[in-house]
Amino acid sequence: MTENKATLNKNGNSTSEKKVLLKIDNLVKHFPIKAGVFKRIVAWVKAVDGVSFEVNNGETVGLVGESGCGKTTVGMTLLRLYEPTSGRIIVDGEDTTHYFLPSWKAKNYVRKTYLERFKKSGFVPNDELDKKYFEIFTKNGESGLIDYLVGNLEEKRLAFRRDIQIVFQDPYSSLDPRMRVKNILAEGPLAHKMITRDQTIDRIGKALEEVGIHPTHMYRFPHEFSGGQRQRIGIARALLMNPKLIIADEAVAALDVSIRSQVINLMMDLQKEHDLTYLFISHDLSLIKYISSRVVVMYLGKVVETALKKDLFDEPLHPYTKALMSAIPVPNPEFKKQRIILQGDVPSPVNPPSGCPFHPRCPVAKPICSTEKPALREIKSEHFVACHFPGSL
Amino acid sequence: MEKQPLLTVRNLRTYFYTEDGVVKAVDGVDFEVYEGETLGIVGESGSGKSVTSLTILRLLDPKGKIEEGSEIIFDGKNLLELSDDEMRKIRGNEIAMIFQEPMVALNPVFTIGEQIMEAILLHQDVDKKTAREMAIDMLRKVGIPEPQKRVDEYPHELSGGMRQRAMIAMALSCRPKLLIADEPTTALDVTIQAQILELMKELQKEYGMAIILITHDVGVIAENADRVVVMYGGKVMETSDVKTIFKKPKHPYTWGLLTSIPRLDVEQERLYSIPGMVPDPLHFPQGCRFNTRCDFKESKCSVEMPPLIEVEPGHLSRCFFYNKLDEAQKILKAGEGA
Repeated sequence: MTENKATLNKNGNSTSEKKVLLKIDNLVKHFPIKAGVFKRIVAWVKAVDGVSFEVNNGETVGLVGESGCGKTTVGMTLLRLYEPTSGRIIVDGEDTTHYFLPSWKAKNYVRKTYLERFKKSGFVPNDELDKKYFEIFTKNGESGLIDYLVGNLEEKRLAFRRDIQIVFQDPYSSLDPRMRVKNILAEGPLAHKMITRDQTIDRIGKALEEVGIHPTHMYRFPHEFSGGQRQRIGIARALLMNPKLIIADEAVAALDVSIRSQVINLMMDLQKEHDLTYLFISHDLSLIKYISSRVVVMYLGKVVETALKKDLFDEPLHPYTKALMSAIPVPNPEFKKQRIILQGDVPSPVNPPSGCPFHPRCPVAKPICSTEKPALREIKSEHFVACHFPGSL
Repeated sequence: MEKQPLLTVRNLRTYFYTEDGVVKAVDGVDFEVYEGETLGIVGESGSGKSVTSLTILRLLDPKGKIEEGSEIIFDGKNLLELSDDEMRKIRGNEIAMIFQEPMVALNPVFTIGEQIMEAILLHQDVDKKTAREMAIDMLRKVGIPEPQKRVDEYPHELSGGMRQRAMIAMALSCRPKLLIADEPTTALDVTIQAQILELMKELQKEYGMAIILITHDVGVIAENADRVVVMYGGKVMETSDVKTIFKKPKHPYTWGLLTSIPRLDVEQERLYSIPGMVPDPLHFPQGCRFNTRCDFKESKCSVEMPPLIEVEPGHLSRCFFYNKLDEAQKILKAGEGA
């Protein structure tokens, strides 16, 4: 298994051939607001409202936005800590959206998403995945495809839980205060039978050493560590599972400035060593600029701009991205920058504005912006913007 | 610049007597604030920056003691010698404060208007109706839309940015000479942060008040402060005007802080990181408090606490070997060039 992974990573890292590790396709997550005696649903919080992006093997994608933009919900839905309302989550070339549904629902999902379309005459595949599944469908028939996607669901779930790991924001609440570090770290690998009990101490010692914590500290409890050390333990916990993707949700936001750079550097070193892929969720554009290779900017449940880091920071095309950049305080008193101060607050995701979600705060909004939703379109190579007038600010 | 300082803090020491021992949260701090200027105090958690501000207003909890020999001279009066009654006349009137968490600092069971009026009625000789008018006026001034309506709303009905505006309205309602802002924008989003900082600048120009801006964000300091005090382990490590300190820091801690943050304005290969942890205030290291984490350390540093040395006029650094930083800077620059 490990050998297999090594060759795969080598492929992913060669620049000529990019391998998509994670593809999020039109992801939607709405939360109901219930009221009254009968808990009737009175409204929906549209936390994530049609988000699509890709993460390639070996790269770091930064997901950035202000509070309430849905960036954390994307991460949680991706991990299936929330079930998506609609949309697809594709990992390593397989649809995983239905993995955590009961099998009858999973079958329904396959019928609705694929079979219904496949059965129509004159069907044309939309993407690689369609092509692959259509081939299975034509070869093995309806039950063949259902078997391929829904069979062995338990095994698929386990593999999914192994492959995608998360490092949480708050190092104080993400470690069980009653467990010793050793047991916190061993829980996952033991449950997945990746190590035997005799190997625990050895493996965990090594993992701790890798994140810069003395192996003898594995018998301590979380409260005996500082915030930065706890975050290192959280990283070790993710690493031990040999994940394909690590989601870091504001992983350094709670740390002091001098500790923050230690943890950031550690994460970057580990990435080089283990060919890790990161999805870095943060509100801090300067941090995103430093750590990521590609950036996805979200506003009010939607992606407004995504591009390679250099393109985005050299030439932000969406007015929101530009305003966000100008709002970041630069630690250089002599640095002259264009100051764009946005008016008002982020609107509520219960009642998002019509048309472009940013139009009420946009300094260059025109009439069309309040009526028509701008689609995310590719303006330059790999530079996508959802704006009617990109680059106008 | 032969101005008299508005506030002078001399040898300020605030100790907390806990069961585990004495926490020397603030341990010999000196600085001045002049009229109309913004003094930025920057430091990490546990550096003593917040305790300093609470000490100035004498808002410490009972465990905290201001030690003998400390002096806080405000407008010619030593605040530490005033009676509680006299202090109450200054607090909220001549010196006002804004806190980090507006939701915690505002009282949830009173409307915004009632809370602003409380300060006005306490310190100014006006009737309730005028006070209400003044409150509405203040709300308009801080950019809250529909102030006549908002004045009767409760804190939970406002967004985070609006709450912080309401706090500012409350703090400025008596036109203080000095405003202490303790992490005023840390809980806010960057676009809202930009709004609030801009508002504070405008109001400072209009009212001519001095501001002590306390934050951990050196970016906020660079864009808003005139002079900077860097605190670490309850002591002032370096102080100077803002341009000098960012261009030529003379203390290894300041230097480390500036080189360890990701920035938008320059390309960075790798961030510097200050090794080790923020020290436990119960067990500060011997000698210089930063010596256990310092890359420029020599044997002297772990024995003797360096004094604040005047490196150039108006620029003080608590480091014996501040000259070493110039060399480090040169090496760094050469590395960048190559």
